[in-house]
Amino acid sequence: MIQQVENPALELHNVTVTYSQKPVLWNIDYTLPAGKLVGVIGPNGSGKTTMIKSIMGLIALNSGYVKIFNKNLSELRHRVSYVPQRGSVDWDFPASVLDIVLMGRLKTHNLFKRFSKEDKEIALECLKKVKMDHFIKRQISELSGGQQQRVFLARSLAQEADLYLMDEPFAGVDAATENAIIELLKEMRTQGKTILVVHHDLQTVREYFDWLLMLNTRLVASGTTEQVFTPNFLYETYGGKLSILAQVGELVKEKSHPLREKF
Amino acid sequence: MDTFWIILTGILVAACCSLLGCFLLLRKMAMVGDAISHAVLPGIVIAYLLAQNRDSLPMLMGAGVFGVLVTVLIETLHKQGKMQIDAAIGVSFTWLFAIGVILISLYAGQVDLDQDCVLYGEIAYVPLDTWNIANREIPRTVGILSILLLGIIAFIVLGYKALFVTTFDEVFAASMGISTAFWHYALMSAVSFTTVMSFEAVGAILVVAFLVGPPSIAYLLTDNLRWMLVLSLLLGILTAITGYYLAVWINGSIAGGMAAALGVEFGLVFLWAPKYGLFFQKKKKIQNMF
Amino acid sequence: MIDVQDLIDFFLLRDPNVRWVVLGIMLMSAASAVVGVFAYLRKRALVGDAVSHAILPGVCVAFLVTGIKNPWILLGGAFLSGYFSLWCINLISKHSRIKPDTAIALILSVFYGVGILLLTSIQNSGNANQSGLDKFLFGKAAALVYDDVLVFSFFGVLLILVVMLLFIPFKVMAFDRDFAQSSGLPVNALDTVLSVMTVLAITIGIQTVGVVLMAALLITPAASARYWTHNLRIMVILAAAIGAFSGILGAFVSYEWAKMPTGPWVVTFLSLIAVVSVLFGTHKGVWAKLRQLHRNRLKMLEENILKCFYHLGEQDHSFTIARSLEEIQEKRLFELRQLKKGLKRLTRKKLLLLHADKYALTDQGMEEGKRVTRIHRLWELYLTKHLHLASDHVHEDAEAIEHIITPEIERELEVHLNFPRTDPHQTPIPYK
Repeated sequence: MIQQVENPALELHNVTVTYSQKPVLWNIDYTLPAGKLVGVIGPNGSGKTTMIKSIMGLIALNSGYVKIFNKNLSELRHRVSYVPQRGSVDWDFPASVLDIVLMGRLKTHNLFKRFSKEDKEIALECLKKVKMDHFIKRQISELSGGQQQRVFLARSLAQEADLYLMDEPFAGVDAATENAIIELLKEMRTQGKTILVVHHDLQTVREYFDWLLMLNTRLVASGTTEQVFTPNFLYETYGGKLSILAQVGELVKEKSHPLREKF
Repeated sequence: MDTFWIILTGILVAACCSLLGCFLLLRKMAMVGDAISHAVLPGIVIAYLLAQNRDSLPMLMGAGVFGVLVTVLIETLHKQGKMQIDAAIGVSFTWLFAIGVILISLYAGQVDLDQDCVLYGEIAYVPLDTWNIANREIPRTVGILSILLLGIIAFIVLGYKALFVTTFDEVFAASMGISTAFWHYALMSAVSFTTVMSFEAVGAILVVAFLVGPPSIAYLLTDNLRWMLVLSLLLGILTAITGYYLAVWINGSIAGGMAAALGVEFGLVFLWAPKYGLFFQKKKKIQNMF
Repeated sequence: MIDVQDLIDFFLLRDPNVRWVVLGIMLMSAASAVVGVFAYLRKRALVGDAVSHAILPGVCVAFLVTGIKNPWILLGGAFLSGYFSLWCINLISKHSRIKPDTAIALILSVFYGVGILLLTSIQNSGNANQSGLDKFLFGKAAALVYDDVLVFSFFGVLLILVVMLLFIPFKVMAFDRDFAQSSGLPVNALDTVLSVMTVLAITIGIQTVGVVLMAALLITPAASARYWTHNLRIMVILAAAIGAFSGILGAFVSYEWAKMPTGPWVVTFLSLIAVVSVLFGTHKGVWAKLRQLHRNRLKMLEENILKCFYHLGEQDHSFTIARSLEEIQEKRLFELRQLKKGLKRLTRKKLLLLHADKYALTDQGMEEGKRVTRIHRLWELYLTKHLHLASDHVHEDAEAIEHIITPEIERELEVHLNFPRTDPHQTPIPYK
């Protein structure tokens, strides 16, 4: 079941994406309403991270398109914030917590200039929101997993975006941090922000998310949590890959076959 | 007076390399730096052949292109050719270096390079080739390197934020619309030109020592990128001076002396650095057990 | 230019002056390549480069300490220094925040620099014994003497024998280290053996090609072999052959042209073989992939034409009507030159018949057209039913996938969808 909405914050239309020549996302088609906390769930390798990266234009689409608030990403980058997985970065980098959060204030026009006082104030505000304001000078190599995640979140907040895409923000994080983060996300939602979260813990889905995207290489379901977080959809999502689809995917990779004809 | 010029040359080479090397280290591209420093050899030989005189800056620029070209070759072998990255690096730079050595052998008479010079340079000859600036005789190498150093400092100061974010979190930088490719190639070009200019003085291998050595030592001493750059620069200068005197004492190659000095400095810091040194870490481990 | 007779004589090792040197070079190149395969598999190519540079101080220290230029002593010093550098790299990577690639570059340059310092110091001291130390630096293959060759051959054979002996444990370790360990293999000891062999190969091989190029002798043959096979045994043999072949070619070049150094030419031939392998290798080569893409395109073209004929046949309720190019283009727009090419190929394959200016399906052609059409409609149904796609979103996907579905998958689809009658657009699905 795929619930469509009017005036979506995010729209994916017939998106197909390959990774190392193997199709990882197949004909993904959905619209997401604004101002909701959306969970993205699915087994490992189901294409969740790939989907986020394609929305951000970091991976090319084989077909289809992505529209954010009805526009292309290039027209409103400043309204979108991407929080990558914590493990994608080397935390031995010589920098302080404040240094990292300030990066969220980077725009194309201030790349070669100093950060303004306002930038610094906003960064500090965001650190306060994630309760890391006593750590501003701390070196990031000394942070725990939960603290690292909060720094990433603060950086994201500092971007003052309208759409937030977060890849596994609760992975490897202590319970207190998880609570703090979800409270913050709910507050952001109240302010009208749209937040997409790649999530791995099914226990907390009902409590956290209003809307769910269930992914297993193809879109199994997209709708409100009550409507789609049901046994049969869960079974379809987690019950293994569609055998035929998987076989065809293997063939596509083996023969380097295109996923769309271009004549 | 000659000693002064020689040490100054060493300092300038060390300064240029130590600054750029900080970013190479943090981007895990130390061996690409090694590859570049070898790959420029054929470019330099060709430049010398075509220029006939050594005063030709544009020709040396051309040699610098070889350095960037090797990074393109490595990436092509890796991405399109599907070769694993370490093999791609190894295959690329050895081939280019081999071509360079063949060219030297072919044109031995016409090119003022020999194999020894290529591998470890001869900084002692630097004071001989001079420019006339404001009525003083300044060695050409010193002049060129000074300009290069100023350029590198400007590059780092202006591009600090971009270099910071593309090095720390490439994916985040790309998502903000920053061209990671541009900064990558800008850095590689800077390394390449630095290698070419330093070639005469210290040869290929020692450029690598300065690209990697002072930054590594600084990396163990600080958690702040700005401080890492400053420390690296200072360490580079210190190494140039101590290395020179070490070489004079033992009557050996000056570039070699500088590398040896680096080794000693690194060893000391590796063992005794507060917080990141080996002994301190072991002490902390023992303390944690109680 | 090249005297062919000279070349043949050389390869047949007729000249007694060079015969043994060439054999030695070939043997050492082959042995390095064999050992290099395992360095390649463990992704330690650049460690080999570092060790190559690191042997230099050992040579100098050995000379300084003993005062004699005995090859065995120098080799011993080289070996110890090389092995020590390996230990340092591991120490630094494991016990500090410095990453492996940085550790490699650091050890490489520092050890080498110390070596240069010592070498130049020795050279400047005017010690009569020291000349020839620099052959470790550059590889003076032409200056090799009989004793050197003996050493080469001895160690070359030794290395190859050890690899043959320990082939199975090495193989298991290369592909799954954890499994090897849990199977009871002494992985640490085997690691040590491999490290010792690598350092040994480097120590000896350096005298052929010199410090900088030694990494090529280790890695390039292995990298090339990878494009022709994924069978380890074949890969090792192939790498050895590439090494030996490049060795003799390089030796020949410097034999014919005295000015030419052997080492760089060996590396040049190795690299050329690598480029050829990357492009044309049957296993991973670029050319093979391009050919596959070309084949895909032709298949898609032909099947699309047959499908078009079939659709026209469905429309007119007759599959034997001959069609003109215009009729075909009206039903489905093809690029004219492509269309003509496709029609010609299909006629040759007896899937179409040419009557004057028009083409008609043969019985076989009709079956093919029917098959592709059936697959297209089945796939569309599959997409709507199992991927929950809207029926106006599935056509493009099916247009591409219809060409890749095998008879087995087709069967599975039919079963899975329960032999459906119609596709999502209510068009009937044509079964046999």
